[in-house]
Amino acid sequence: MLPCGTRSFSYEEDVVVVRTRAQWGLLIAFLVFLFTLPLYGSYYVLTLLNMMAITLIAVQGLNLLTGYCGQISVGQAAFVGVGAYISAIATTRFGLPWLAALICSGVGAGVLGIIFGLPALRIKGFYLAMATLAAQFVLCWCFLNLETWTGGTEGIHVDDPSIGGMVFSSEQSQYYLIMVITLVMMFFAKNITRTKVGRAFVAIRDNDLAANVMGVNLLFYKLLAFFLCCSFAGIAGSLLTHYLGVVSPEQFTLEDSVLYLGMLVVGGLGSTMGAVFGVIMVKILNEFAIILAPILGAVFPWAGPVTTHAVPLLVYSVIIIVFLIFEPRGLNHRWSIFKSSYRLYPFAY
Amino acid sequence: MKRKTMIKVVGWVALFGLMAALVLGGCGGAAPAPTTEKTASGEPIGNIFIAIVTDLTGPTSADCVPNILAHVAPFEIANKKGGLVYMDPKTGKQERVTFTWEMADNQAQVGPCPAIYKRLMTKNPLFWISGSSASTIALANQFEQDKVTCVSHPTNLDVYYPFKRYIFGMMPSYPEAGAAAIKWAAEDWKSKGKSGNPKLAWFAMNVPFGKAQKTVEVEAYAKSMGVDIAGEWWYPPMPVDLTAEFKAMEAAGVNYTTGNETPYQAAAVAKEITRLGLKDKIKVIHSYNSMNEPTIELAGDALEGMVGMGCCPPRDDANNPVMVTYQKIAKEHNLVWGWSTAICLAAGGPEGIEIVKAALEKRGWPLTTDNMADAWEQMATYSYGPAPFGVLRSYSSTDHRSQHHMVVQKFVGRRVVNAGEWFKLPDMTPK
Amino acid sequence: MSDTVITLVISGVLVGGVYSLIGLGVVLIYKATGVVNFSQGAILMIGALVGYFLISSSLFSWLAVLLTLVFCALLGYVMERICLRPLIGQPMISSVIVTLALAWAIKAFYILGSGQRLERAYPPFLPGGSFEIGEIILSVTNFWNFVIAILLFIAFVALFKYTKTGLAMRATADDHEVAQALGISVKGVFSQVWIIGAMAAGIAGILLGSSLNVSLGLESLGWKGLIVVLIGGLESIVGCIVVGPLIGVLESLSCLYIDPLVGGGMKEIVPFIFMLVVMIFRPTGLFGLERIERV
Repeated sequence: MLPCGTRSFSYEEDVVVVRTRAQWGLLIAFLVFLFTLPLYGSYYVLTLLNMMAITLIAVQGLNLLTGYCGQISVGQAAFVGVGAYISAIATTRFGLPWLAALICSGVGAGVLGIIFGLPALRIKGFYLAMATLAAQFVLCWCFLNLETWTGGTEGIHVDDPSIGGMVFSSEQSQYYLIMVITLVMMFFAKNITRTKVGRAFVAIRDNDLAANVMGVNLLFYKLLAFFLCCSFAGIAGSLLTHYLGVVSPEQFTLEDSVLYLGMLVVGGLGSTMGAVFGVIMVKILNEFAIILAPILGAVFPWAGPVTTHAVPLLVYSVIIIVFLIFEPRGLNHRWSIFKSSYRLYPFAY
Repeated sequence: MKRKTMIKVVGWVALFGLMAALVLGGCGGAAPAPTTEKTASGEPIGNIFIAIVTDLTGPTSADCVPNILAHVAPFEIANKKGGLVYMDPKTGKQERVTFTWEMADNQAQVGPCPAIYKRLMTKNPLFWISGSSASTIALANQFEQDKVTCVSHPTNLDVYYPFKRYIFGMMPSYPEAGAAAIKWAAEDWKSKGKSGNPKLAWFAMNVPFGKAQKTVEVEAYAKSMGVDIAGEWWYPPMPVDLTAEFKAMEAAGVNYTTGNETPYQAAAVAKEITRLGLKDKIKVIHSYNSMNEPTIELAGDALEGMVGMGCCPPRDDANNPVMVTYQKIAKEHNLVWGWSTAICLAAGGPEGIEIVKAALEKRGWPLTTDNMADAWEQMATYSYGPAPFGVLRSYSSTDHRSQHHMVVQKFVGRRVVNAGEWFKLPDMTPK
Repeated sequence: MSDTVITLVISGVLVGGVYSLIGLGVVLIYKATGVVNFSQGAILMIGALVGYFLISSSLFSWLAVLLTLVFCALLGYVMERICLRPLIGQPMISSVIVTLALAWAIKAFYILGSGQRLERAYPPFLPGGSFEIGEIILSVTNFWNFVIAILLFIAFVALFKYTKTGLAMRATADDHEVAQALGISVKGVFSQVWIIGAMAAGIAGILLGSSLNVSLGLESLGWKGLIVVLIGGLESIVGCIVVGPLIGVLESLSCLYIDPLVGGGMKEIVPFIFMLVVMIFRPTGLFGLERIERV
């Protein structure tokens, strides 16, 4: 629903993302806030936001595949790992500059995604979920066991990212780097979903046979969805490995893969903003859980220090289940309800 | 209708208020808060905060949880007695310190570490305890950069890194343990008067922890010792039937196996090899992580006669006064006696003094070791004698490879006993 | 064939029996409700832990086993009633995510309930050790697991074929609306299959817990069960019972033949690779039903 008095007189006007002055104002205010945050935000907030942004890229990729194209993937974390390893190997072994490594890991992870997406042409539903689960296990096994390439148990230590002569070593500079790339990726994802490709994805999600009959090339678009999903993951992985300074084989777990899906559910499948909401919500809840857990551990001595793992798990699972049952369309739906009722106020409809 | 709208509006305002409060709180409140520290002015320092990051869950949690509890037990003792009182040599006044700590779980992963680090650093810890290899690997550069002392429980640090000045290692690294196992295998083979080279296989769980003993250096060392590496068998990280692995090893003519294992995995291996009757044909050399009571509890009689490389004395070593006092503390604090409980008690106790002192010195509070140690002995009821284990070593530029001591141990009648003399670990530094 | 190979094949078959046992519950739930239960491994794990506490505390170990099964049945019922029933009619992806989330919740309760010791050894109450036929050494526990898997398989087939409940389940599996029109309580059937499925997991949990100890790793065995079910075909009980041993043998032999070539650890991913290959050539599994789709 558009704000009152906004009308489109041409197609160009209709497809613009930011339409009113108020929206422009809010966007600029948000960007100013985002890019001045390092000036007054603490290290802790910056770290949190950096991790959120990296996760957001991976979740947005998954949103393209699962939310828009309807192909479930339980192996996103493994593809993040593929990106991380490709980036690490490209910079340390082949001496590529960081930007080239970033692109390499995006493309490389995407191509690998196509390989694991091949069964998707014939299978769907639970079978596809298991095929992507197989990708998760097989890829993680490769991280650990292909020692000549991945460094085995030791992993690979990488340098800080640099563009030209500029080295991004401090938390603040990394923050700017990650935020810029995240914004670009978000804009990219938003635009993909508004083009022919996005509409083809939605058609496949709603009914792939019907889409095929209508002239959507299933082979091309399903594989394209896998490619996009995994290249988003690859870019997230490349950012992650250079942010942490190390890539190690036990980093990309099934738990993360499931959590990415959970974030999508919480935020709302099939909307760009949904992924953003989901990531922010789950990450903030996670921080709460981490702070809460030691207190609980002290209150219940039977459970003791292990509450630090159990409480976040419990929080994740409860929030995912609650959202699935009571608000399957996620936070984004709530947000759009709020927006439309705000715009209609004081009328009900 | 109106009321409903009201409720909705109030609900949303509350939600956004909460979010805004969070963001603002994060921006403003979490900035490094000024601590109670007063540089050697004679006023009480008050509280020492210790930040702990370890695997409270994950594949190695069974080790890490008892270890960390043992590590903080001496601090608990000090707190109970009202804190550590010592004489500051500069001012000549008495100072009193108590300890608080907070544990964070990195789930055996690198990923959560930076966030944990930043979160706990806002509380300005005097030093860190890192109980997990992953956390030490992830944070090593940070400790170095921020000049924060870290006591590291594991790991492969001395192999992975050029030296780190602010990290103190406590135990033999995994490759060193692997080398010790190889050394023992070569000696055992010779002492039995067998000809040819013994065949050794890597055998552990297929996780980074399990595979950590296998490095290029160790394999080169094995070659120099005349031990052939006959292959590697890694079983999946879940409870599995190991018939296939052992049969395959038997077919390959393997004499010895070694690899990192938690008590749980060691118990599974012991049970399976006993069931298959291959115990004498293939000698499993357990790692120091599993020479302990939890393993015995899980595996029972299946362990009888099996050997392993230990790095701390057996629990019921009555001749060792240090062990006797540690036993007492463990009993009082209801500690599960893990493979390195003694080392961790030492690190929290006598050796902990060194750490506290070193960390305080870096903060500009120069104190002599004697003062602190005296204070500690007044606090704690136990004294520490000479023990060939749990020696904290800093890594200097010339000696970046800590030389620990190990001993061959054996399971006899549901107990762990020493089966040899303490020996210094072989130096595997590439020449 | 040498003795080694024969031993490996037979022990693989016996181990595979356990996989079938885990898979049976999944098939059962899928047949009636159309939901693949990704939390089967977690139910197995917590069943093993509860079984451990009851068996080590009570004098009558068989009473303890019964109580464990009651616990699992309750757990299955609660899961179905609270989490799965509101999702009837939602897309498939919801059921995948909700069962994965349930697995987490169960894992969290396992961690909280284990009292800081995540790994426990059962008091010996099932026959252990091994028996020998000539040079071939086999595990007694695995043998019993296999036998119990076969017995459960027979029981399930009998349940489906010869009882009214089974008939209702088959009708429900075929078409929910028709079943409802015929006076079958579809919701009741859903509850029943979840209870039976969770109890099957509980049995597997006690058996595995007593032979392999209780740990968080037991959850991963649930994946093996799912692999077996998907290769066999989601609707096929026969497929499940046949493919389980097949996977077991595959794992065993990969250890002997592939490990020396690639440097170990293939056992972990061979089933997954086999599953991917099967999926490419037979998308509905070896014994699964081909669904004809209409727009």
